[in-house]
Formats: sequence, C-alpha cells, structure tokens
Amino acid sequence: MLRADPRRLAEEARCPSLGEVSLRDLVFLDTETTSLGGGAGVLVFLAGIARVEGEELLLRQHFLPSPGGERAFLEAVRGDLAAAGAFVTFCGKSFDRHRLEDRFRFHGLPSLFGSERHLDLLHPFRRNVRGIPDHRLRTLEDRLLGLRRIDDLSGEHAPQAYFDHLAGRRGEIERVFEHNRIDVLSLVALTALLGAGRGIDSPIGEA
Amino acid sequence: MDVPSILERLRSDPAIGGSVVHWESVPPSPGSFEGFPDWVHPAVGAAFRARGIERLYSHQREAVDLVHGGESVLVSTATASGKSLCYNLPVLDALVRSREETPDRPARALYLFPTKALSQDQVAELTELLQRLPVETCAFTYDGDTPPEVRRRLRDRGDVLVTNPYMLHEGILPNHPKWTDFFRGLRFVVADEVHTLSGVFGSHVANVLRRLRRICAHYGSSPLFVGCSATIGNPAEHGRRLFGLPLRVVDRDGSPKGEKTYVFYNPPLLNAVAGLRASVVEEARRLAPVLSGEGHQTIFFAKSRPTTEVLVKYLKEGARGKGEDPGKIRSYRGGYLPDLRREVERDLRSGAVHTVVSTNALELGIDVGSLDVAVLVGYPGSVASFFQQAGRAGRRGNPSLALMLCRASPDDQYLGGNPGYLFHARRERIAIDPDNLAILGNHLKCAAFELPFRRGEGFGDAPSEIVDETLEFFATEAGILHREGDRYHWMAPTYPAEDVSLDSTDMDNVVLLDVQAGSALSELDRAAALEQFHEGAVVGVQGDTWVVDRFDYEGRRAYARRANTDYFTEAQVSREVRVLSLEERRERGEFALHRGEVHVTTIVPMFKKIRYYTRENCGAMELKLPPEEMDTESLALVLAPEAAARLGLLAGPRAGAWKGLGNLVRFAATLFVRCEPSDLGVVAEARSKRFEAPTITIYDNHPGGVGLSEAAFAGLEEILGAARSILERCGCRSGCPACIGPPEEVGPAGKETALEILGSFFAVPAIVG
Ligand SMILES: [Zn+2]
Repeated sequence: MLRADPRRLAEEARCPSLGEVSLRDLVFLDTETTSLGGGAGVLVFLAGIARVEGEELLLRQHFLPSPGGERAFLEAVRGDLAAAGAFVTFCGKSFDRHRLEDRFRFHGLPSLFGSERHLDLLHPFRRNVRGIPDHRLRTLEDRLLGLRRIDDLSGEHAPQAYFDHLAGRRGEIERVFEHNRIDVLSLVALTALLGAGRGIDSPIGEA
Repeated sequence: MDVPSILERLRSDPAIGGSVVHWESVPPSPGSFEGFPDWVHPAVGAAFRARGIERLYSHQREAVDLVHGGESVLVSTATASGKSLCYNLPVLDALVRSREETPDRPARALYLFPTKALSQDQVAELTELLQRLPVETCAFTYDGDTPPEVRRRLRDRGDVLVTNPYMLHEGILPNHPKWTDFFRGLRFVVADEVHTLSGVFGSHVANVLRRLRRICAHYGSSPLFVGCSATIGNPAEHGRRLFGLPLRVVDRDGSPKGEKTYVFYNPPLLNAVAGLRASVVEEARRLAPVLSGEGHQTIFFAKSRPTTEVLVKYLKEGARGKGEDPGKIRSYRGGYLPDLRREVERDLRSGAVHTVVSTNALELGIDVGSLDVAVLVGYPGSVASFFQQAGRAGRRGNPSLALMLCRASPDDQYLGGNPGYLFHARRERIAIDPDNLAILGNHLKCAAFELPFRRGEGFGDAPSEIVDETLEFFATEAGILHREGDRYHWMAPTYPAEDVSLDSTDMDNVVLLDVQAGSALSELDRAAALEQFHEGAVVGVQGDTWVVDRFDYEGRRAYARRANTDYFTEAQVSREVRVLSLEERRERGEFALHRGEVHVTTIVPMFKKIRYYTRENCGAMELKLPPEEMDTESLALVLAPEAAARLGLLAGPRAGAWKGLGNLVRFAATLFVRCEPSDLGVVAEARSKRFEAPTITIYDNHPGGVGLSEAAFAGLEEILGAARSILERCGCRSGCPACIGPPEEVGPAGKETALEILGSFFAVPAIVG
C-alpha cells in the first residue's frame, strides 16, 4: 500500500543512510504539545505513530490523560518508536524531536533520536516545490495531494483544547485527535509522493 | 613622572593644594602568605605555579580550604586581591579529581558574572589554566552572543560554564532538560561581584538561584556556592540572603599593598551664597597635566558616557597643545564594539596607552593590568565602586595615587568632609528582599514551568505558607497550573521567564514610542511614567528632545514626536502615604523611628512648562490621570508636635525645612544602603494622620519593597548624622542643591532650621539595649 523507492527518499532527503532502510521500518510520527514554543514546562500530550504492517497501515495514538501519568505515557511512546528504522515527520527535526527528547531527558530516559535516520519532509518539499505561497503541511496537502481538510482544528488551538480537557471543561480534545490522525496520514501520502520520484515540483492542481 | 613626584607637585602648587581637602595615606603592607594546601592535586598546583603563582595570600588559603572542606563561602576583600583564585583552585582540583575518581560523572562548575564583558575576560584566564591540566577540560561563555550551532556542543562538553544572571534565568534554567549532564555534575556555583546584586536586581537573582538549586536537587546534585564581593558592610547577611544558605565569610585581606595616597579635591567655590562650585570636568582638565602623561599610567573615571567623551576630547587637545601624541590617550565605555574594547585593554596592559578615560565599565574585574593613578571625576555612588575605581591604581608594591574630585552634590560634599566614612568602617549595606511578593511570585511561575511543584515542597528559604498559597492561586484563579493530587503542573502555552525582567518589580512598564517610526525610545515604571510621560511632557532621549502626544495609560504606551522646545516640563506630584502596619519602633528624645508597611498613592494633577535658562513659568496644563497605588516597605521619622512647635515647623518661614530635610535624608540613605536615590521615595508631612505629628516617610520605590528601607532603618542614626554633616559642611549660606535645596524651595531659614532639628535629635544620647 505504500510504494516508494528508499534510494529516492534518501536522495531527496539528502541523507544516504535512509537508502538502507526498508519501507516497513519507517515510523511516521506527529505530536501535539501544550505550547508551540519549547522549554521544560512544555508537555507532549498526544503522539500519533503509524507504520506499515503487512498490507495495512497501523496508526496508534498515545494520549497523556493527565500530567501525573507522563512517565508511563512516554514509556509507551518509546515502546512504539523503539523499533523504528527511520522516523518520518514534518518539521520534526526542529520541533517534535526536541519536545520528545526534552521529556525523555526530564525523566532520565535515554535518547531515541541519536541516529541520523530522520526524514523531515519539510526540507525536501521546501527545496523542490516552488510557486506555492508557503510550505506548511496544509498547503502541501492542498496543492500536491488535492486534500482539503473540512472542519479541521488548527494546530495552534491544540494546547487550549488539552487545558480544557484537564480542567474538565467541555472542549475540543476529540478534534485534536482527528487533526493529529490526518497529520500522520498526510506524512504517509507525502512520503509516497516523494519516493515515487515524479514531478513533485509541479503542483497537481496544474498537472 | 612617578607617583611621589606627582604627590610633590600636588602639595607644592598653591593653585592646587588650596583645594585639597584631605590626604589619606595608607601605608604599604607586606601581605601575609601561605603555601599551597596539601590537598591540591599536583597537576593543579603545577598549573598555577606555571602561571607564576608560588604561594597564596592568607585569605586565598582560608577560602580554598573552606571550599575544599565543603563549605559555601563569601570572599569580601579589596580589588586586585586575587579573588578568582579562591574559586578557580578548588574548582580545578575537583575537575581533575572527579575525572580520575568518577569518570562517568565529571564535576562541573557554573560561573556567574554580572556583565558579558567580564565573563569573556574570565574565560580567557580560565582557559589558560585549563590548558595546563593533564585532562581535557573546557570553559566557555554562554550568552546572547553564543551561536546556536555551538550551543549544543557546549551544553554537552562544557566543564565550566560562564554566564550571567539574565541568561541563566531566561535561557538555561527553563531549558534544563537540555543540560541534564551539566546539572547532574554541578558541584560549584560561583558568583563574582555580588555587591552589584543589590535591590531589585539582587532580589531577582536570589530567586533565580533558588530555581537553580531546585533543578540541581532534581538531578541529584547539591552545589557549593562561592561568592566574591568588594568590601561591604554586611557580607554574611547579604551572602545568606542571596544564596539562601548559611556560609562562611572570608574578609581578612592578606594581599600585599604598596603605599597608597588618597587625595580629596574640592573644586573652588564660585558663588558662596548659592554653594556653586567649579565643574569637576573642568577641574579634571586643569589637573590633567599633573596627573597624566608619559612615564606612568592614569585612569580617569567619569560618571556618564557623554562626560567620558568630553573629557577625552579635552585631554587629547591638551596633549596636542604640548606637542605630545594624543593617540596615547583613549576612552573606554560600554557601547563600544568588543574589538575596540579589547584593543584598549591590550594597549593598557602593554603600556602603549598612558591615559584612559572610562565610565564604570572598567571598574569591575576586566584585566587591564595595574595603573599608577586613578582619578575619580565625582563619587561613583557607592563605597564598593569607590574602592574598585581607586583600586585600579596600584602596581604590586609600588606607590599609587587615587584622587577624587568632589562634585557640588550632597554625597560628594559629605565624603570630602568626612573621608573617615570611607576609611574607618565599611558601613554600606547591600539590601535585597528575595521574598518580595511580586518578585517571588514571578519566579514561582518560572520554577513551576521548570519542574512540577509538590505541595509543601517550599522554595529555597521563602516562607512556605506563602509559596503554597501562591501556587494554589496560580492553579485555581490564574489557571496556569494544573493540580493533580499534591502536585502542581505548569499548564499554559507561555514561557514565563520571557515576561519576567530581572531589573524591575513591575511587569507593566510604560514604553515611550516614536510616533512616526513606532520604535521604542525609553521605558519607565508606571509611577515614574505618570510624572515623565504624561501628555505634553518634554522628554530627553540621548541628546534629542521629544514631546509626548498621547499617553495611553491602559495600554502602557506613550507616543512622542521629536521637537525642539525652548522649555522643559515639570509635573506637579502629590503623594500620600497611609500606614498599613508597623513592625519596629525605637525612640530618641523627641523623635520616634518606625518601620512598617505603607500604601502610597501618587497623583499628578498638572504640569508646568518652564523656559530653559530663565526658568520662567510659561504655562501650566491640567492632567486627567488615574492615581497610581502601591504597597511597600518604609521607615518613618516622627517629631513630637511640641518640638515641631518650638522649632517653628508648623507654619511660617521655617516650615519648608521639614520637606527639604526629607529629601536630604533620602539622599543620605543612599550612602549607607547601596541603591540609587530613585529607588527610594520620600513624603514629608507637616502632620501625619497616623502619627498626628510631623512625619518624614522614606519608602522602597518598588511594589512590595526590596529591603532598602529595612536596611536604612537599621542605620538611621548614621544616616541622620551624615545629613547633619552635609548641612554643616556645605559652603552655602541658606540652602542649595548640594544640601537641603535652594532657599526658593525650603525657605530663607531652611538650612538653619534643619540643622536645629538634627541638633535636637543628637542632643539626646541613643538608648542602648
Ligand atoms: Zn548648601
């Protein structure tokens, strides 16, 4: 169900070691956090993780029900990430990776992202795709995948949705789950596009 | 010329000698020496010996032995007494030993300096030492200038991290998970120049250090604290408040000293009635041919950047006039590019420059070698600064000279007349209050961001019930903490350290903006902004005049445009104090002295336009500004009503003296408590509601107070004594800006009345016990 040429991916990502990774060992990761900045007070409260198993794509979402359970949450996330041959993220080299690493270190857990095998899709798409207003995930979905999200909760509202959930207020935490799920699925689709090696530089709207 | 010849010329020239008001000669001291302690690792001892250090001064030995024995220490000795060895030796010893004994957990050290320039200087010296060690270790500065790509490597590999309180507060502590190895191994926290950590800034830094210790505890480390300070009046108390733990004070200075002569020069009176004196800058220019030139090195300390520039221009012109090389005269101040500063420092060390004119930027420990003559163009505002500036002169064992030019201001005139204040006892106290509610609350936010709080956990030595109440407030009212069981977790999308400035208590400072460009021109706390940024106010910013078009009180912004006016503005300010609580009281004759909390209300109902030069009033305008309210700490001086009646204070020509005395006492307080006059507020009432008598209230001009009036209360008798001495010695007839204020403000009998008031205070002996 996921077709992509690893060598092609490695080339596009400018990361030769990615070429040795089987597609089955790719782990697609996207997190939601309590702030869009960084620092010790920022928690990861949702981690969407997907991988190919057999003919299926398995997507699992780990949720932090309350901050007291953070260690158990992080261990579950680690369990799911540990076997990864390579991570696929969007903007993860500058964001998701650091938020998770900070939390691991906070709890004295060893690093997971030590290897070079991390495909951050932002960079190849930023290099290759011209003539679009920006390179946000939303824009790439629209212009390259023809995907329009309906009623999507914008990522910057995720922290407040989580605070509302913790405080027992009616909020939009369900929509955060959905938002994160679509983010992960987009990672898979964009990886396929990148690995197929044809014309990602021409927006499909015009193809 | 050498120093003895300069002294001879000062003595023999009648045009100079007549203005010298005091000579103080401090005899040379051979110093007291000890060997390296036995516990020092041979490689570390060798590294110091290779730098020419064969033995230690006795205070260095005392300090390093204490630190090695596991005690936190505050070293309070003179400039150039080798304070950095007091921490470098035990730190290097621990670095080397820990690499031998626990290689998986090497010792680390954090050095804090108040400025960036100092940290860079320190790293250069430290690196030289580290390179001589058999193990690979590195020291680095981590500040705003460190490139991001270098930061990561430094975090992982740095053994000695050199930074400043701002960077620790905003960059390092909130990101401690990136520094886990560093905090796990942290064994020493060194803070240098801690006498500069006073008032608001010091109270903030004490809380930053509480946060640091909390993070260390999380990672299982418990570092020792080593502080270094200029000589101050209360080293033990200041060290304990700042570090929040008991510590030992080392203050018996064992460094050798050459003979040092201090000369106090009071410029001649130009107008005895008005107390007007010749300008110190002009006098410095006149004395320069005697004080500076080929064959020795001289540093002039000016009080401001513009004065530095004016003076260096004068000196260069003078050199040209005599056919000498003006290139050997340089200026130095903050704001110069680092390369230029390094060049001047180097040329001073090598002797290529013989005269430098500097702001206080060269006062702190930057290495320029030792010079021969230090000229203080005005009292630098604190005893510690005075001795640091004077201490720039004095090469090992050689005679040196420090000459202070007294300005026509109360503090300079007081010192000119009472040099004993400087030499016989160190009375200047450093006041901080880490438990100031506004400051503490802000750092509790930062701390909660850094690590979840357990209820009852406490926060350093802050009162634990206040900590718990504040956390509960943050959870239930402010909605920034999430309480789960007995734990509080940070739960907000913000980065609190970003919103906490270490230089103010009030987070709602008012910013003055250029109405056209939209850029910020200046910033003031709210109470001061009412007086200075109101609509129509004329504001000077770096030599330009601006007029405020609009003051948006709610939005904390004022908008100004550049304008050339022939007038300046003066706001009429009325202040009221209401006593909230009284905590301490003592009596002396007809006076009662109180300490307690007050509520201060400031109203600015109008302002006046006053023409430059003629001082003629050219218009007044009403203002509609809300009152500014503040609770703070204070002291009160209350005079019995019968005494007030006897002294004629209740009405008539003598009544103005009480207000003038209030201003003078506030000023005199800054001689004994390290702060700026603007850090203290004063209200003089002819009849206070609370005491039903004439009352002078002096309060901390910061919400909640930062310990200044508390320290002033402890030394109020000395402060009043200084006020009396300023009045007695002032050359004016009936009051001037250098003492109680001009007769137009305090009345024709202001000065004599104030002297009578103080006379009656000291007529009765203090009650001891
Ligand atoms: Zn006077």
